[in-house]
Amino acid sequence: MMMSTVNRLEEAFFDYGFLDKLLASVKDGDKLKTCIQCGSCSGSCPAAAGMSVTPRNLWRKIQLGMEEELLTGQSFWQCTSCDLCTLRCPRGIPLASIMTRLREHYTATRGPLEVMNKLGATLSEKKNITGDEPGNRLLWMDNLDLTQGELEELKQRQGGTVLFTGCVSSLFPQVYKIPQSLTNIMLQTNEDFALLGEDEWCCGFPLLGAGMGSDALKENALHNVEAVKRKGGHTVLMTCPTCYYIWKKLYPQLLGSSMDLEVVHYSQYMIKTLYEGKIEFNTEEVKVTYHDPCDLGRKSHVTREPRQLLQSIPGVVLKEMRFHGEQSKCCGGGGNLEMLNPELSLEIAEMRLEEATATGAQYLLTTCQQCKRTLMNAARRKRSRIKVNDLLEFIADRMKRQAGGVRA
Amino acid sequence: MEILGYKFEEGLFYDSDHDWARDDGEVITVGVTDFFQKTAGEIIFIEIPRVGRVVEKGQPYSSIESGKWVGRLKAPVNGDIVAVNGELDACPYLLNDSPYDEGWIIKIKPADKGELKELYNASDRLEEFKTFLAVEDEKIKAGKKA
Repeated sequence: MMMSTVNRLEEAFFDYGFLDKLLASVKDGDKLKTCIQCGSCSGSCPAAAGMSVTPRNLWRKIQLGMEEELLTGQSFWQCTSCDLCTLRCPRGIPLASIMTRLREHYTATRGPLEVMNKLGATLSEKKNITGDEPGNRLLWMDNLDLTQGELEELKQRQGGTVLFTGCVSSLFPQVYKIPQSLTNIMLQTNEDFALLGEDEWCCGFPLLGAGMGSDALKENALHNVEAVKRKGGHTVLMTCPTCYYIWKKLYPQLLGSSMDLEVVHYSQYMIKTLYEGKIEFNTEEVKVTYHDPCDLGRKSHVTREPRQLLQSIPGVVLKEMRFHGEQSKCCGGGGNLEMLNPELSLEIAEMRLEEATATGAQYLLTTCQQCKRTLMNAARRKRSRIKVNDLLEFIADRMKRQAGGVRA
Repeated sequence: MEILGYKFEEGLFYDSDHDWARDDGEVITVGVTDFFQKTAGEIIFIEIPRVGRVVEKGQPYSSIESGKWVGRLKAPVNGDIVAVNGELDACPYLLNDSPYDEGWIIKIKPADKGELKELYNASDRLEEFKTFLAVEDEKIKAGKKA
């Protein structure tokens, strides 16, 4: 009796025609019909303050078939794709995927946003996010303390483990230290590895964030997988959590079993190096806190390894932030938000920085170039003294230099 | 000397990538112009190159990031880097505040100092330089150049 009353109410108010059409391609998208409007999503959303329509209200508009209002409001373009709403939704609704689907629907029906259109054109022409010439992907190497001959050998090297540097680390000088540190550590510990260099293309995530759909990534996926195989690779080593997530989750869906490559983030790869005692460290005590990148922690469930790495470094005292691990708050740098609304992106980063500062840590460490950039920008604006580093830089800086051989 | 609202120094040489070069005898000191810093906006990071690096004319020797832009700095002449301005690591804003003085970037021991003559200068190529700047300024205003 109770149930039939609910059903009649649903029939009277809701129009699921739009919902069914919109979410047909989203796994478990149908669950949106069970949304109870609790507001956990809006309360969790780092970007909600910058949205004209909050996430909770967006879901209701979908349920009610209010397509025009929904698309005109454009709130879904403010989403950082951090996925905290999905994690906290008591109904288990894939909310972040629905946000991405809304972007796709907007792009398909109203055409791409101007800034996203430019991004798509740049990626199509130059295969990176800045529009640089492909050769510039190796500029970060120029400051390695290696001879010209050693640099050339490194560039030409074939190897089973191939580093996929990612657009941000390759092209944004603020984070060059990340691949530089990785290279120094790998060389000093005699790990065998090769670089993709200018043969590397963007992983394709920005196209997904731009509402162009996952099929738009297929060309990038095919090229990158082939490029790694041409280098003789069986393992792809990542410093960027977004590239990691895309390679690990999306490439196999797009390419199927033909991909046949192991994909690892450096925090997983280096556990072995550190535990084998290959690195000797300086031992002064230092307090650090660790920011889990959304694509690595919440979305890929890699939260344990970076902490294990930290705990294996002598003198390191880890002070966790209030929200950490899979509950970690976003830095504001995801979902193409920095391109669309840089001020909101920075405000989100400032909130995360405040949490980090409250721990009393001297270092705010992370394992992501984009998190590092946004958090550094927040620290600069707030005149904060906390040092924002990627874990790789932190490890490389605390390594004892070895006499002779390759210099770290 | 002021051209189109941008400051330039008369004794310097200028290339078409908006670098300046100063003849300091044995070495050539290099930086970026007032036009460059105004166009880039607040510079938040510069990758300081290694002393000893060989630089090629027209090729990138450093990368730079402002709040709105990422760009490459190109060498105005061929040679070896013999000194770098370490102050810029902690204070990249010197490029904005003092582009021709405290914001110098590198000193190059030139392979051929005669290459300076290929650059714009105030004594015999001023009109040509003004024409070049007018075109560049127009591109900025039209939003065709970052």
